[in-house]
Amino acid sequence: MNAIGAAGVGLLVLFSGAPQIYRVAVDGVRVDVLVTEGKRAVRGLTASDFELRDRGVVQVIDSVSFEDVPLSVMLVLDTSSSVRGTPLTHLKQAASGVVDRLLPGDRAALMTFSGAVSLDCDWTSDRRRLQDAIGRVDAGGATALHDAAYAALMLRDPSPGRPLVLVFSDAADTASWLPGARVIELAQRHDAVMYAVTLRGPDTRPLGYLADFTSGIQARLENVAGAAFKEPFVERLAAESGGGVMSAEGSGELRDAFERIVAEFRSRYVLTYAPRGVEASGWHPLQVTIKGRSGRVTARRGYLR
Amino acid sequence: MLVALATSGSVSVTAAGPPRQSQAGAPRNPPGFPRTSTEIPGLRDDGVTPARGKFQAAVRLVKLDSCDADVLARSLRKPIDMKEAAAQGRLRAEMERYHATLAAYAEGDAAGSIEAVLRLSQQRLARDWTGLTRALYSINTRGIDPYAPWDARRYALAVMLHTDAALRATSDANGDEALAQFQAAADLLQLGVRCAPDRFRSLAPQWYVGLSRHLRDRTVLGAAEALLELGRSRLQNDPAILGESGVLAESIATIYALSQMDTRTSWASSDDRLFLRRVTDRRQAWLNDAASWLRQAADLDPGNDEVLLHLGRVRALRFEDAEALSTLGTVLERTPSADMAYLAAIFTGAVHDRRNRLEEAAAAYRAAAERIQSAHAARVGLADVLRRSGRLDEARRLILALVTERSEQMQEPLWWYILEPPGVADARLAALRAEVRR
Repeated sequence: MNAIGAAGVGLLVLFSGAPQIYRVAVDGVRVDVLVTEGKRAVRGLTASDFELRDRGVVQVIDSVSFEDVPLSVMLVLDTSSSVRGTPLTHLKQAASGVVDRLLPGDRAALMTFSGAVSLDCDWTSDRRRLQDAIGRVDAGGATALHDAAYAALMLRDPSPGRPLVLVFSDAADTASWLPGARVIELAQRHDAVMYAVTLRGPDTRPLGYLADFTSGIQARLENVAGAAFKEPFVERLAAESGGGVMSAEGSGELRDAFERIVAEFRSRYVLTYAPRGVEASGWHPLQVTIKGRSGRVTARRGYLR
Repeated sequence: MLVALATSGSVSVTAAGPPRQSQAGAPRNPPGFPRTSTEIPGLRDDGVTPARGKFQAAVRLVKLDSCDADVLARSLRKPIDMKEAAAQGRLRAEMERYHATLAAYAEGDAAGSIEAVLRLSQQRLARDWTGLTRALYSINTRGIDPYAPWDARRYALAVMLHTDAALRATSDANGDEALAQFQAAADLLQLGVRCAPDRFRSLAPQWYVGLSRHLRDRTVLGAAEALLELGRSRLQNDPAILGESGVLAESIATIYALSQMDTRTSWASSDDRLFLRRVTDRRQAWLNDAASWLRQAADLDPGNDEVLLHLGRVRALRFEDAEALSTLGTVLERTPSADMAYLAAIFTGAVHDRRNRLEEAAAAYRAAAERIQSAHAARVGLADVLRRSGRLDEARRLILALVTERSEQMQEPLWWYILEPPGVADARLAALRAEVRR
């Protein structure tokens, strides 16, 4: 297993709120799950309501937690030149709105990217520090989206909160060294849930991240099958990690989108289990369902060890 | 650094590396990536290949032999009647106006002279002649042209005047006029090459390269390529034009691979596979052209490290890994430029990286990071190779150092590998203007 996911997929440390109680399960797996009915999150479920299959084998869920694990929110904001002006103002307001909604024990960090990637505020629970950092954000340059998402995953919060990576970008990558596929592979090893907010705009890029002609490391395209080559990077990233993508009509909707993501993330369950009856290494496809009632389950597609 | 391609003539606009300050005042940022093509109506690309053949290689606006001794010796036919005498008189007057416009341009009145030459172009005469085409056709005609035979400076001034008129028409989205003015400039340039070869030996490639860069900066890629095609046909085996052609082709295959496909989104919904094949075939064709032109340029100018660097990268993009590593290795061995050595090293790293040769990739990225310690790409590449090698803590420390660095200290030559720092293309043309006015 890659040590990146150690806090969530591997040596599991659960933080259970104040007073702080830690439970440790070696080689445990933590799966962040959203259950919705219509547009509303379903609450009040217990371990017996879920069925979880790892590589097709039903697993015993050791615990289900809901709302009692603090969040570790990494805000990853596109500050390329296309965001200049009013969109940047709205973006800063949106980021500020997320900070306003942090609860005691929650932590956040701020990363911005254009041609380069910058950690503008390291992990902290100090809201003022975060707000000050947001206030200093400026825009200009290209879009190194892949490199920024990669850095966000690499710089996971060392504290044992539930990791949420909230990425905003208004366009496709133009300046990364890493191809999107490399970031997807890292996300498969990571326990972070990634949400993305995009702006619907005139960018009519007809091909997705697999048709990569700009990053530093380029692979052959012949293995790209079907419509996969049209899949946008952020959609794949969100799908792999069990998150989601919100597309705002205009920058004025960003604040609402950001706040809805945080609210939705708080409504998720964290299922933990120790894999039994499956090979440890390789790709572990996951299937999470709820028993005896209707509802839609959103969870990561699997994990890589 | 890229201007090294633009010949070693007297026009000197250099950018030894990426500027530390961007237009937005955010030093770590390269310029915004152009997403949409600013096509000029009339110079619009067809989506498959840029506007090849839009310029005429056969000189048509000027008489190329007009400075030959035997032609100059011919005297103007005496008018056979009053009507012909009047026509010759009008032609002389047009020629005088044209020279007055050139004189104003030489004195620095760019706006007025551009307006005047555009008016001359729009002045419609009988039999498809305009005031401009008739004046150009009469250059060096004794009895009509008071300055026959032109000196080298006059040719150069005329070239730049029409170039500026073309650029004005481009910014006004007047494709027909832009095309006519570019054609006039190119034909006058060719006349200059024939009539004043010493002066134009270095100026001609500088003009093609400078103008191509200017158009490329504005993503008018089809016009840039058509112009270079003209240059390749008129100034055969010129390493600067071949090198620039290769770099432009490389850019169309990489950062602009989709820029001309945006209008074809309907293809994507109707037949995805066809669309993808269309994009990849087009890209491969451009990479093939890029490799061919860069190889020719390298053969003609074997000491040019920058051409070799682009050739190495293009070979890597064509998955000719052994050739790519060999070419990039040559650059690494001999270049005195830290930026170029850095780029050669990260491109070497990329070849090893995608083949999962982690040790070789790490070594190449480390070599690059040692050349330019504050660079972005080398450290991101190295971090990922270390992560895949199981050295996660080291990888994380690298990323942390990268993202917490003061932005003013960051340098990344990759940002300027294809795109030029803001203002360089304009400065190059400004230097050409100053040069012709000397």
